[in-house]
Amino acid sequence: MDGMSDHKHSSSGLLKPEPSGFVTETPKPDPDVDNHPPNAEERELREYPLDLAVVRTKLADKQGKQYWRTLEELSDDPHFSDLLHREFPRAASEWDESVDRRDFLKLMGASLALAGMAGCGKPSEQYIVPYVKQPEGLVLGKPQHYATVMAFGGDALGVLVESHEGRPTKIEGNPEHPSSLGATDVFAQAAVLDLWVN
Amino acid sequence: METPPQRNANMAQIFHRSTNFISRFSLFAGIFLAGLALTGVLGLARSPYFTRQNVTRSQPVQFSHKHHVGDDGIDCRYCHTSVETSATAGIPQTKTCMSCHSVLFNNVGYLEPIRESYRTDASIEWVKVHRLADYVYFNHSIHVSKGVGCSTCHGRVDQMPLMFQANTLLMQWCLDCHRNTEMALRPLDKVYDMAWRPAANQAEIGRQYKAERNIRNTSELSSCSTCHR
Repeated sequence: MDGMSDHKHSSSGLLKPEPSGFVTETPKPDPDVDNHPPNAEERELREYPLDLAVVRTKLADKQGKQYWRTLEELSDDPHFSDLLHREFPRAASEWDESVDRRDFLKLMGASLALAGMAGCGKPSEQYIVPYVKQPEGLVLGKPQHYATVMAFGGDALGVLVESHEGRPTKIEGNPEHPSSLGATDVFAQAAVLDLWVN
Repeated sequence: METPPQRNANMAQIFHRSTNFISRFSLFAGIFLAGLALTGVLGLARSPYFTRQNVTRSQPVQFSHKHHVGDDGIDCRYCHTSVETSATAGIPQTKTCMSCHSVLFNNVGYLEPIRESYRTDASIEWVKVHRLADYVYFNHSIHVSKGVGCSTCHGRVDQMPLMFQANTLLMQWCLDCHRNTEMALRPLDKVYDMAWRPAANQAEIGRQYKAERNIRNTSELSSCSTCHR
């Protein structure tokens, strides 16, 4: 709209023009506002000024509620409509269309599909890390149970601790210990987590 | 008043006649190509590229089962101690190697990783050859105690200079045996015999073993939860 901003007839409101208020001479730019050299659009507007006779003819057979934004639009001047159509592509070109909606959807679809493909790869190598000196009595793949006591609340609770290759996984009461007789409480059950705290 | 022009009166055909053929052909070609692609993908998943069948790995020490089992005649259980009692057969501790190699070949260069491990108390990192998915439960001890021999699954280990996986370890391969257990059952004293071959009347002997050893029936052995617990 910048090319039309200083044009006298380019009002943006919905106007019902009064024929008596028309000017017939070529509109001049307001010298107080802007003195920049006329650009292509301004030159074109000056070269093809509004023909009021045409506007009057168009208005003559109009009735009821009919709206137009400018008198140029009403006059249906081919130069002006050409100018009008040039305006929007230029404004639209300011929008960076390097990634538009379709491209975005294509990329997202491809990303999803390829993310799924990532799971199809050859499995990576695994390593077996055996003992250097295996503890006596340990059978690989079988848990060991240690009878021990857990100090808690000024008492000692007899427990059995299940251990997989040195890693404790479960604490249960020791049925042969008089203080527990195979039973535990929530604290003893949770105490296995304490064994992992450094 | 002027009559409106006849629409499309002089308009050329957009598509050539051959388009009819091309469209039908591409329809069938598309189905064919989709089938071909599916066959290719499934074939690739069963190929040694993915199953790692017959692929040897580079190990920290190029341990030869051919030498230790084939030439020296060491029993499997000397090193794989837990095979009869545990789910895993077990990879031997460094100490097991050193029980012989502290005196035999005790200064050769290629055994330095063994000596270093024993000296520094750092494990040797062997590359795993037989790999089952985590969602498969497999127990060595039950197979061994029911009379399935080592070589049935692991092949002729006594002829392998470097260890490789002799079978696919695909689920289909497991089920082949679980559905025909009688074909894999041996006399219990032949379980660790690498050279055992099924007899001519193996199906008959196998059925007898199956009854004697209380081996479960096919529907139980091929049930999902037998292996996927």
